[in-house]
Amino acid sequence: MTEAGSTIRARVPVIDRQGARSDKAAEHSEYVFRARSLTKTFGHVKAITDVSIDLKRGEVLALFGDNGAGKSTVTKMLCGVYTPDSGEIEINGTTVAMRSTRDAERHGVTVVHQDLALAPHLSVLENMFLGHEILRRGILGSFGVLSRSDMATRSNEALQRLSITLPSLSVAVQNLSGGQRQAVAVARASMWSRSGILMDEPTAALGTIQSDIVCTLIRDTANSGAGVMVISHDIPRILEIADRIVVLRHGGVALNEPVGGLQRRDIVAAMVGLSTNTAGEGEKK
Amino acid sequence: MIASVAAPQDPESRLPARGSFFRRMLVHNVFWVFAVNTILIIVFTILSRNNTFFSPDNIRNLMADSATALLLGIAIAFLLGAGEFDISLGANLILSSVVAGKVSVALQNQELFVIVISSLSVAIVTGMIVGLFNGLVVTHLRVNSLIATLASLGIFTGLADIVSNGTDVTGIPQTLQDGFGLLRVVGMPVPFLVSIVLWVIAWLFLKYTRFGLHVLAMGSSRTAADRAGLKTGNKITRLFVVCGALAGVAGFLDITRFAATNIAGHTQDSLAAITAAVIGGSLLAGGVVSIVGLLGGVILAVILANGLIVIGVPSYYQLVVVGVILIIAVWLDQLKKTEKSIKMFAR
Repeated sequence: MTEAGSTIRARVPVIDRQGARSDKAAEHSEYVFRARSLTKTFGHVKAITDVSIDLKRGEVLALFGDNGAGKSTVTKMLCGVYTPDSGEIEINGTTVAMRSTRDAERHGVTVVHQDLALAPHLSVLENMFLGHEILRRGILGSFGVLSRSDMATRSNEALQRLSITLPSLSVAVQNLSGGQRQAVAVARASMWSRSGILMDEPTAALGTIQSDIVCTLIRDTANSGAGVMVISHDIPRILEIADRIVVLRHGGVALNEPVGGLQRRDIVAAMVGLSTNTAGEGEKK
Repeated sequence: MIASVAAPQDPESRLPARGSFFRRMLVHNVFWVFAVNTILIIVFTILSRNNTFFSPDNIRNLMADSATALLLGIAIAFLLGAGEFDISLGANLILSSVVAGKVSVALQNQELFVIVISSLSVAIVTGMIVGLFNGLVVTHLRVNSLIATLASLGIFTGLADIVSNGTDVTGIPQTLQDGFGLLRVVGMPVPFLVSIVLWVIAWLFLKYTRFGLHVLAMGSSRTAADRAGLKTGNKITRLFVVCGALAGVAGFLDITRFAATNIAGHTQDSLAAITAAVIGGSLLAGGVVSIVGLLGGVILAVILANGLIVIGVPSYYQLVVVGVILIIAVWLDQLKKTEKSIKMFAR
């Protein structure tokens, strides 16, 4: 937990979409994470078998797959919820062993859960800093008195960096719309992330307009230098913002390619294990 | 507090419109509780013979009556805020008062200062042990706090009876009563002042500190608190211990007022404290605590109990009235959550 006088860690330098990095960014690894040969078994069920996946800085990586394909298991291993049975995860060039999302956060990788993990009765400001509160200096800080002005300044900076508009930082999250809540969760993850954000179904519970807002937000987050991995079933919308696609099927990687000319039917084909033509015909029917 | 980031743009934003200060006050339980209290004070004053209800002596009685109720109310408000229950606070108070009473009897030949410090310390430690027991059962054995404290209600009431042989502890030094329980400072009873000081501290902690924020976060969404890295198990256990300490202080104040324990008189105290907290605006489901409203809820119960006696109505009608007010308070709270009420109150 961040103690009194703590500061928000500096964000990585801006990287443009083409991948041109500043000199300072070159100090960091090109990859947010590189996972090699991950395997995870639950009882007799092999959920993940020999999955290798990586995420570069400034990249939006879309992770697709049918229900039970292993998307959530992979994500949970990447954010420290599950420990892989075998394989290794390298973050910012260093092999790490994570046992909690807090560990992942220490390595610069944050998660936006599908349920957002926001406290509905708390304000935007309080949610943004929950677990990372900034305390007043001096004797008041020793009593745990919060420095709300410092927290507000930094929250405003984080929100403005992502062009997020909210009515106020002091409004309770339960009074925000679904899109605004998602934006708060993304801004919070962005604020505490040094290199990468994992997002689980960020548009699942949203309407069309709000989904578009969130997708723009995801792209902006990647453009600001972070790597973003998005798990989603909303293939067309995510295709518009993704740089690379990974499709999981039966716990293994079925497709791992830059978006390039990939179309929805290619992804569906990889998800269900059919040839592209067959998948396209299936969609037409 | 904080300047707006920007104007709301999302079409689904459901923020209530900002009205005048008075209109915004109307949606707060605190306003209604204190409004009802004011009306009750006026009614009881008019109905009482020679307006004795509003006499200085009776006001001091009201203050003294509210001291222990306020302390238990603070404890339950924090626990409710964190999404937990404690219906053993009354039993904790009883056990703490019995143990403190025994200690004060044993020290009756000592100076007042020694008796106060010793019996207060023993009461607080006893309360903390009870709180620790509850906290560990809830967090380590993962027993729902309602069930856990229902069990400890029986356990610690029984222990109090065992320690006291089933009878109230008597022979508590008169100096403790004269020099503390009945002592007045600026015209107010010391037990009341103690509870008000603790109430102010509780309000400050809830509103301005990380501790208060974490309490509300755990009650609002335990999952969110866990994922934010808060060690919720430890925090809940510590919260039970702190609340146990408050019950211990209440137990000590109780023996200083009457120079005897009152084992039978506090069995319903936890439910009364929960009622006061909820009437004051704290949510049973957690995440929202109103410490100011709690004071209003405590005063409401005390005014009713005292006022009905003063005007010659049996005091047990108080239970009926408080019960009805509780239902109305919760109903109004539910009503406020609807669009209809937002339009009605905050337009």
